[in-house]
Amino acid sequence: MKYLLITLALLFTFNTSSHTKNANPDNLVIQHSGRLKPLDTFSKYFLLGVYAKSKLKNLSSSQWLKETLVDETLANTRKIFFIRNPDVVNAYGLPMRKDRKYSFNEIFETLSIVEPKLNELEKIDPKEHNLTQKQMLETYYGVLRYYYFNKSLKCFFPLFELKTEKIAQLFNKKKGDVVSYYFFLNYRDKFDKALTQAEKADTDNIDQESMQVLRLASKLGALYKESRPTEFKVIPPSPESKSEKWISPWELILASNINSFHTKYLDLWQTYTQLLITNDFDKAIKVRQEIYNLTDIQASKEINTHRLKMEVMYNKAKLFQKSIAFFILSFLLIAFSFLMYTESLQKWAFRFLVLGTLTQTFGLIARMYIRNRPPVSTLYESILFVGLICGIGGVIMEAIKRNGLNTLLTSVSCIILLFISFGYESDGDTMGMLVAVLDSNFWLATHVVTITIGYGCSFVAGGVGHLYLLYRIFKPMDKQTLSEISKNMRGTVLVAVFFTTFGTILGGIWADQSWGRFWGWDPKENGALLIVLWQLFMIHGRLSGRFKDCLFASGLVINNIIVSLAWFGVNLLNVGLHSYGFTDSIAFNLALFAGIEIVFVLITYPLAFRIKPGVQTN
Amino acid sequence: MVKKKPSTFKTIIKYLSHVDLFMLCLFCLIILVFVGTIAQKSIGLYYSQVKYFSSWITFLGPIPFPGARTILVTMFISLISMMFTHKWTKKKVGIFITHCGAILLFIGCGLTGFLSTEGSMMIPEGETSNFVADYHNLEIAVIKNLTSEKQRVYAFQNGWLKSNESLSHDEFPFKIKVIEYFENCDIVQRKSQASKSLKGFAKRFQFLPKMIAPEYEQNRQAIIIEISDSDADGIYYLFEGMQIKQTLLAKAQNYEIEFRRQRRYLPFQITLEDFQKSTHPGTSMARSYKSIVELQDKDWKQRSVVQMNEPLRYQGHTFYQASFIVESDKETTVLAVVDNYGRLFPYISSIIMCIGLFIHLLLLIPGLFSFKKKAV
Repeated sequence: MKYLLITLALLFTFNTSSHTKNANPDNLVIQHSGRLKPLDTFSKYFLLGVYAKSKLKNLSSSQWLKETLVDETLANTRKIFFIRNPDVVNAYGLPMRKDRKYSFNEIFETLSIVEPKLNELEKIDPKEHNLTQKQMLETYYGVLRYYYFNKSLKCFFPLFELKTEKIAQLFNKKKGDVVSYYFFLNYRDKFDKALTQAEKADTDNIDQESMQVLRLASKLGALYKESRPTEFKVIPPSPESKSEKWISPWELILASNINSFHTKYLDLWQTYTQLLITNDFDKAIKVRQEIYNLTDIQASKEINTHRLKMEVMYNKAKLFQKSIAFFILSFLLIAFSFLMYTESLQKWAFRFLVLGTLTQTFGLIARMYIRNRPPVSTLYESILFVGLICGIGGVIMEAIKRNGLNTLLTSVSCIILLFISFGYESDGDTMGMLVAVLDSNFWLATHVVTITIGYGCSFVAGGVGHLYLLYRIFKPMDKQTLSEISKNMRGTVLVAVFFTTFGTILGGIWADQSWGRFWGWDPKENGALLIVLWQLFMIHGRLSGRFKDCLFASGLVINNIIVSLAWFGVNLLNVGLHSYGFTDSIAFNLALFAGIEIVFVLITYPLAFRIKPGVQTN
Repeated sequence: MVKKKPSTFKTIIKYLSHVDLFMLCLFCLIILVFVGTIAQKSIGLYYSQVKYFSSWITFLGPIPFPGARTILVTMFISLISMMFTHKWTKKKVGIFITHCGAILLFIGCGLTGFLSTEGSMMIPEGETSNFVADYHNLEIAVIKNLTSEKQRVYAFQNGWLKSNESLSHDEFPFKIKVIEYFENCDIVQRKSQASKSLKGFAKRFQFLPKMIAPEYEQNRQAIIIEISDSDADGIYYLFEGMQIKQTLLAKAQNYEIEFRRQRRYLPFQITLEDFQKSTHPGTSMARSYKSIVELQDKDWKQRSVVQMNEPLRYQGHTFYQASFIVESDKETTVLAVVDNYGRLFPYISSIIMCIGLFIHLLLLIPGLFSFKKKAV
């Protein structure tokens, strides 16, 4: 209870400080990749996509979004394109930089040279692209996306000056007023009339009025041609229409007839954009609130809008970054505790471990609430969930033992898992919609959660295996602790096999329910089966006395490799589905992990095997 | 006193039930699953399944290795013998229950592996079907049109589809001889003048053999046959999914010859009334798709919805929404049809195993996680 209060207090104190007054559109709603989400989430993943981080150095994602939408000139000079691969930098003919970050203007300049090559690449089957080609196209699409996106509100920009008295009068404005593309929409007929008149005029002695009209028309035409971005879908369908599709301001303006419901939206966005351009934030906040209230009514027909509010809070709170901070702190404290102030440092390390685990729990609960789903439905969430299981397992074991070893083990594994999860975050919206076959909360809650708990327990067991081998080498005299650890190994592996077996069978049952076959030997199923088989192999070996503690512990370490292969490795076999640059690093990291574990076993097993616990060796 | 020698039967049981045998099986299965999974990248799911998992014996490179069937049967026998020879005590009640559950799982696995059949049923919107097409096996069908609505079909399946095999039946006058069978091929236009013996489609096209693709569906299987004793003797080229019908005349009767997926006719028929597909708004990602079908069995009519996780079950057949095809304006649903006698076993056995392991864990936990004794 004490911990719970402390965590809550900590989480909220951090947030309030970041709540400065701003007029950014972060809490407004957008429909993107099939779901409604706050613009804050949208901008975060936009940046993650091109910049590989969810914020710029001294600009939050929503500040960046505002800037991109209303201040093109400044936004185009921001270095928001991160090009991971130096070969791609060369291919684009960009200057090589240490951080390899480039602005839109810089890339745009070179684009005229590379574009033909890129268009050529697009014609080739994506499966035949090599890594550089793939990333070249990725960068290209990122740039194109930005190019269109930053014009999303341009229809509201005051770009057209009414230079003469007569024209101004025509539109009920004063001479010198500057109006937007959207403005002309209400005066379409009048403008058309003036235009036909102007076109009729003699080209040799054209009067100033006609000249102005023609100029305006050509400028309007130019903007129309330049782009009509559709990604910024912030306007809901009108209540009478049955469509679920939201639309962007440009799409709406160019639609043939706009009803009064939509006019209201456009007017509000017009005002909001103008206020943002003139930096009149106090008023902008009010207008934003109006848009928000209006949208909220529409959005609530589709989803519970509290979830959207929660999502904004969730984005701000960055719970998983906080939990990793707690785990790192816990790790540092426990590492120092082996050198000095053993008792008190251990206590504090344990406290931070609990805090980290609690923060992780809050994070996952928040996600469950926002998505209205069981805790695990994507690979990303499975990593977070396994982290949570490790955390809980570690806290329980440490609470029983209080020797610091479990804190060390747990904090290390949680840190590693959280780092891996950050890598997956940049793949795209982690709260995306699910394909038809996965769209079943019942099975997600049973099969997926069970098997993920199984993965978590397997890692805990593997961790205990590591601990046993190390402890036997460094403290062979402590016979009692050793036998305790040995018992823990057997306990955790039994718990793990319980969950992996049922997770696997439940998976079969789900497959039977939806595809009509219980088992099809496909890579994901085989991966899960391998874990179960290996664990059964270890358990039968241990219980029949064939495997002694050392061998058993080594087997559990190897089990870590099998679990990670089944978890991430099978995705590598399905070439084409997730074959972006990131998978290459997954393959590398997996190989690295497997290598480290194998080396660990090869070194520690022979050493530990020779030492007999409780016997003094000279 | 002479020590009584145990009977051979008992000795065999003793060896069979030995945990070492079981562990050896486990280890072999681990290797097999690992190899079989990796192999899927190069040879595809279907061929890997045939080679490693539904075979009795297989080869890892040049080394013979037991196939999954052999291993699983051995494990099953070992498990059963272990149930009799093991000394069961009160403490081991959880283990006992778990192993009972495992045996049930094996039985279900065997029933499914040997007795279940699967196939697919493709129905375009508004049309009716009464047969299930096999996923893999093909047949040559000779179709005799009796009346405009009634036809008689003579089908030659698997074993017959080998080079030099000759196929005939008393009820049709001609003979068919298989010349060549391709597991995968390309169809190309003939460049040179075709010889006179080539008939129909074969006049203009020919088959070029091709490497077998890892994705089973990507293979185009084809066959070349020779027909004799008819009015249009000659060589015919057939491939699976051919749109143009190959017909021939014999004794004033028209026959069609088709090379197609093996068909199993059902005693009832299914009509696809409507196919509905919805996507997540603004994307092309499927949110759900479902078929509204009408099942007609003699005078009995039943309307049902088949969709993801909601199959239609009727007379031992289960129809699942597997896939769909959308062509310009026509939607075709693909239903997977499965008859599986063992489908309830995993449900029962998982519950039993769950209970067993749970009891075992409850009995063990106090001993396994030793609590630190409180200092007095």
